[in-house]
Amino acid sequence: MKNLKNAFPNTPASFQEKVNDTLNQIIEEEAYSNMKKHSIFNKKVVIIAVAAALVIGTGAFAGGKIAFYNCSSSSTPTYTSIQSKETMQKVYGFTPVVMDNFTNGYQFKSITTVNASANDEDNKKVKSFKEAEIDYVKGNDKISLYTSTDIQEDNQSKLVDTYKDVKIYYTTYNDKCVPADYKLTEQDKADEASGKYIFSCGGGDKVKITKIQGAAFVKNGISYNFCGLDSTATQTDLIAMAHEIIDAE
Amino acid sequence: MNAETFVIKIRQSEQTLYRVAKTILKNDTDCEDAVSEAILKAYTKLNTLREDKFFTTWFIRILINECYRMRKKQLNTVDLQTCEESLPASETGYDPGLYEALVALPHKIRMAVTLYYIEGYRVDEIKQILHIPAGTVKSRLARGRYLLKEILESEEVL
Repeated sequence: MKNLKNAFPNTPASFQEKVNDTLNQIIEEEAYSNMKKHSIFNKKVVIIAVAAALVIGTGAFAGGKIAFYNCSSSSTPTYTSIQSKETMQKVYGFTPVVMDNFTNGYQFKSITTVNASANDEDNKKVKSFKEAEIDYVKGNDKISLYTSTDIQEDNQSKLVDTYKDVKIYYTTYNDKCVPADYKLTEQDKADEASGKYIFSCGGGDKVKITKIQGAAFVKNGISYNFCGLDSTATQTDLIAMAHEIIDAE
Repeated sequence: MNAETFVIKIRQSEQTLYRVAKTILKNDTDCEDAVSEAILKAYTKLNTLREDKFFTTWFIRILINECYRMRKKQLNTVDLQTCEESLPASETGYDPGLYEALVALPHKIRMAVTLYYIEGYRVDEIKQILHIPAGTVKSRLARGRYLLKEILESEEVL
C-alpha cells in the first residue's frame, strides 16, 4: 500500500524564501510602527533576532544612515550538516569557514538562513542581505556565529586581540528586552545611563534580561560575529574560536 | 495574537501551507504567491481570529480561498510540462506518481484527502476549514479513497 504522505515533494527553498520575505515585510512594518509610537527607542529598535547585529552592527547606528536592523529567520534550521563551498556560494553569495568542531568542545549543529535588512529612520530599506547563522553547541550551551558580507565600522566593541593581522573585537553587556508599549521607569533610565542595561524592544509581552557577549572579526571580506546569549563561554573561549577560524582560512 | 506569535505560527506550519497550496495549484511559483497573499491578508484580518488555538485552521481557510482565487484567475493555464518541471527529480520518500494520482481527484475531494490523510486533521476540524457538514467530509474521504485506489490500480496495470 502506498503512503499518501509521500505524495508531495519537500517544501522548496524558494517557497520558504517567499514566506520569509513576506513575514519580513510584516516585521518591518510592525517595527516601524513601534518605533514611531515609542520614542524611547529612537536610537535602538531591536526586533526578534536581536543577536544578528550585536557586535559589529550596533556601532553604526548613531553615525550612519541606518536606524535599525530587521533580522528574520525560520525556527527550523536550513541545514543540519556542513554544506559544500559551492552550495554556500549559491545560497548565501559567500563562503564562510564552517568548522566541524572547536578544540574547546563546541560542535557544529546547524546552519540557518537569516534575512536581514538595514532601514533608515523613515523605515526605508537601505540595504538587505543574507546571513548564514552557524550554530555550535556544547551540552546545553549554544554559540551562534553570524556570517555575512555586511561589514560596518564598530565603535562599541573593544579591540582585544590581533591575530595574523586580523583584529578581533569583543563586547559584553546585559540586554533588557521590554515589550513595545513599555515605559521606562526612573530606575530604568538610571540603569541605562550607568550602562547596567541596554534596552531593546522585543515583540513579546514580558521583560527579559539576557547577558550577551560577542566576538567579531573580518577575514577575506566576510564578517564573523560570535554571539552567546547567557552562554557559559568566556571571552578567552570566543577569542580561541576566532583563532581557529582564522587558522582554517 | 501579536506579530511575533503570528510569525512563529506561520513558520511552524510552513510545510502544511505548501502542501495545502500544492493540492490546488500545480505550479510552485503560484503556491508561493498564494501563500504570500494569504499571509498579508491574514495579518490585516488578525482581529477576526476568535481564539489563538484556531489559528492554523483559520489561516488554512484563508489560504484555500486565495488558492482558488488564483486558480480561477488562471483557469488551468498550467500545462503538464510546467508542472513536471517544478517538481524536484528525486527526494527521499517522494512519489511523483502518487502526487499525480492525488491531483487527478476532483478538487473538493482532493482537499479533504490532503487535510485528513496527509496533514492529520480530524473530521471536525476539516468541517470548520472547508465550511461543510461532517457527513460531507466523511463522504468525500470515502470517495477519495475509492478513486485513489482505482487510479493507482490502473497505473499498475499500465
